[in-house]
Amino acid sequence: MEALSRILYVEDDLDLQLIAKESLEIVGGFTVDVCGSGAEALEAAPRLLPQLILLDVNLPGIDGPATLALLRASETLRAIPVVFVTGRDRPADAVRYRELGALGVLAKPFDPMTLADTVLAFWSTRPQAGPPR
Amino acid sequence: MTPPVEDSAEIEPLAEELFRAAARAARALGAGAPPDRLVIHLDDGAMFTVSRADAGGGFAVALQSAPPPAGAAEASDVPSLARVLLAEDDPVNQKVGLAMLKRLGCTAALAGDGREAVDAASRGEFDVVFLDLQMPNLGGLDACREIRALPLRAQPRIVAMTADPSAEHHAACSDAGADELIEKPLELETLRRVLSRAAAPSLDVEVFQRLRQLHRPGRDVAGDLTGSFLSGLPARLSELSADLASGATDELARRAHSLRSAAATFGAARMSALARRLEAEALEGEPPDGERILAELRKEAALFHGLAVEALGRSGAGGGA
Repeated sequence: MEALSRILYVEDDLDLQLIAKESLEIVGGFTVDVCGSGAEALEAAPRLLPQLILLDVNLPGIDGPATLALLRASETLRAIPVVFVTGRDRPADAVRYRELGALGVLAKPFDPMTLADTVLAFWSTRPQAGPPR
Repeated sequence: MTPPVEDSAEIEPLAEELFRAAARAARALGAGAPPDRLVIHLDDGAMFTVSRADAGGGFAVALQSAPPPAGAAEASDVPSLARVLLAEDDPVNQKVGLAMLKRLGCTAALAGDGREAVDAASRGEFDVVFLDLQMPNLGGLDACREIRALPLRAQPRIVAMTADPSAEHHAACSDAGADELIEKPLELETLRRVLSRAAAPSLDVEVFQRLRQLHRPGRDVAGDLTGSFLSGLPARLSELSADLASGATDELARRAHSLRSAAATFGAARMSALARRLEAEALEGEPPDGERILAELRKEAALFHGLAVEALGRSGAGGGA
């Protein structure tokens, strides 16, 4: 089974970028790249080819769901599993985000000591064969 | 000014008159029994109660709260933006309670009985819920149990109220899930104490300690992260302020949302709660409490700064480990 090592975190808040990166690298041993916007992520992803993308919902400009739609439209990026990150952790939203094709929703604020485990739990639910759609 | 009233006999004719007028007013308003206790607010802020003594007749007069010294601001340890629900069926007590809460800077919603209280609490918008134990439809204890069973993201602090704070009542309230029981008639100082207890902490030490468990050799990770958050706070606050001034409510909501998450991650619980409130208001349009929330946020930022630096210092420099 493919082990998770390269993660891209798309988040405009500098402090959350830093905490998530430190937490995922220190506790989870992953390599984490960060992008501050959806546009930046779409530009960087083909080069970074992350195995998993953590995508903030509330991004300025192209928001999380719109970024996901653009990722899904790209031949090279469409198969990368995406987990939304949001402070609006209402159950109805989680259902809606999964319908958009995300693996799930990670609630902010996160606990820096358990974030890596949560991310791994989402990783284990990804579709194993072929692109998700 | 307020002449002290000591001789009950002297005020008896006056009190009789007041009670007759109140009974007429109660009938006209369709209220049930005529009142047996009157609350008198004076323009200078003082408040008296006049109660009928036992069947023997006569009246008891008690000063409930003295007028505030001119120009005095209420203590700042009360979270003035706390959202309060007052569940009380007696119209006089409703008025008195709301007036006291207002003096403490809180805006409170009103529920007329236990059923209304549960319905209001189910919206999840309250930080503190005051429940009278004896209410029609659903009593305070049952209402308390039902609120505790609601699937809320954050449970309110529940304060039960009774004229008879006996040991039995204390035990029953605690069994029902209430946080405390206070005696009626309400007193300003009690409310102040109760409300300041309900405030989210400026620094949630438990959350902050989680951050401190992130170790890298030769680096103080928590110190660096905290330093970055602290040095970014003034810019965050002035951006919020600029958004508020220019009416950019979408941006305001987004930035408040960001601050809410970041602050919560650092254990700045009260700052996060304030940012959350600002976000919620901005999502509805022009935030009515925007300036007040920002002022509180600035105070909180300073408080958190001090506490975080102290917490980092106390547990020693992580970098040397």
